[in-house]
Amino acid sequence: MSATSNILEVVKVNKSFHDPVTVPVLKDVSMAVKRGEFVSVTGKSGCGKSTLLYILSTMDTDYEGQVIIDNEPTFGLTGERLSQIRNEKIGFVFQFHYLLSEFSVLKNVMLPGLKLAKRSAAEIEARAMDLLKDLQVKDQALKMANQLSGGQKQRVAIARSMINDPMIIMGDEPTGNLDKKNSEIVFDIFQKIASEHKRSLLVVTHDNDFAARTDRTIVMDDGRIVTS
Amino acid sequence: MLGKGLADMMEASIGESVQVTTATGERAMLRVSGIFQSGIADADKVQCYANIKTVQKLLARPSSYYTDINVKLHDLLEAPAMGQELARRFGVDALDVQTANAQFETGSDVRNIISYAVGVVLLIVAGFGIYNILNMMIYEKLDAIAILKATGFSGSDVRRIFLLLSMIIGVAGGVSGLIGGFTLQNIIDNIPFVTAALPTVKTFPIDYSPKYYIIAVTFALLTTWVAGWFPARKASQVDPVEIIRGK
Ligand SMILES: Nc1ncnc2c1ncn2[C@@H]1O[C@H](COP(=O)(O)OP(=O)(O)OP(=O)(O)O)[C@@H](O)[C@H]1O
Ligand SMILES: [Mg+2]
Repeated sequence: MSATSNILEVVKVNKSFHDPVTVPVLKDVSMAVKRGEFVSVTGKSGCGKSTLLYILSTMDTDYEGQVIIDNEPTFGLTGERLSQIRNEKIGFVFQFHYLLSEFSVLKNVMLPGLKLAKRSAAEIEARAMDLLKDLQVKDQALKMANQLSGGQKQRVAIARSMINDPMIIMGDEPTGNLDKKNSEIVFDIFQKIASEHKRSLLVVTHDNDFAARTDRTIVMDDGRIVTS
Repeated sequence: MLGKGLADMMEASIGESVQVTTATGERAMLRVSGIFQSGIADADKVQCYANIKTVQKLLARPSSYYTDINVKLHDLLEAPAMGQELARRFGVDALDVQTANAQFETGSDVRNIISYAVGVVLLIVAGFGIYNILNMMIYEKLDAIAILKATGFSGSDVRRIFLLLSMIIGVAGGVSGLIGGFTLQNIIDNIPFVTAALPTVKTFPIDYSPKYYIIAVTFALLTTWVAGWFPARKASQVDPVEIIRGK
């Protein structure tokens, strides 16, 4: 496995919570995700999946070890640089759908693109509309974000995570709120961006069917990776 | 030249002659060449002016005799220095306008201090109000801040957003304050203010000097900036993971 083909590399990550007593949550976690690979992460509730994902997304910097994203070691980088990496290279879909209720659905999807400012607002808007169409929520584009159903919100959040065409999309149970049909739609879109656009996906899921159909499944138990 | 009050009392008009008696009993007939009004009734009732040569002759003094010379300066503030300079150079008594009006000056200084103190207190109170509003807003918007940060907005972006918010409050408040202040000045300017002592003053005297407007806006913006800075910094330090987990 050459270093350049890995989009994401995790080296011996340890994390503990110290409140009120020190509890180790991640123990010597090492793994890698290749370009264009669609990886799922499973494991029982409380085993540390979300915690790992927050560290990989560079939002949580309180850990030991090293996380290398697109060949750039991220441990100890400034907050400014980390937010650039998040903006440009990582798409994140939360366990609970997270949209800005002050903005329309379309604006929500466009916002990370406007921040990156690599393309014009018109181009970003066109791309946002395409993504919403792919996820079958185009008809909701001009509604306010809080006027959507849970499943619709989750699909909008997925569209948002893809707006900057990131190297890797991380999802914390992105299909957790979706019915079979919509879950299917999301899976197909994920598979398409992995195979056609050579983007990587790292998705935490409790859905065994979903996991079984990904390229590889990482199983965690009590803060350790047991199968990878 | 007679003061208006004096002329009215003597029923003298321009061109007529009046008899002048000096303290030593000399008498002379002088023609009224003009009537003046200084605006202070008490002065206009007793004062009159005549040519210096006439007065010297009337008092039987040589043409080098002067009791007082009044000097008017373009810049009032130079008066004390100039007074000392003249006193030193010519060996005379010199009294500058500030010393002469010291009592009046102290009065208006005290009034200025009081009005500025009230202004500063109001700004502090308003500042705390803005601080509180923004602080509350940050608690309400914690989710939004977490999302912005998770999708790649940095702490300084978030701080900029909240500082901008407080500056919008500051600019809006400052501008409406200016308009309100100007309107009030206009209204007060038209309120009749009649007093026998100052016959030329018909309404409240108002100073429209832009200086006060600039001071007001500067302090309004400064206050909102300071009041906004602390909540904005707090917003920039929000840890998105904590918020996202807490949901
Ligand atoms: N702020 C915290 N302080 C202390 N312990 C925490 C904190 N956050 C999480 N934990 C603990 O860390 C462990 C891992 O939590 P995590 O959210 O990563 O689990 P998970 O695998 O995502 O579970 P789920 O499938 O239910 O989402 C849990 O045992 C949890 O109790
Ligand atoms: Mg979780």
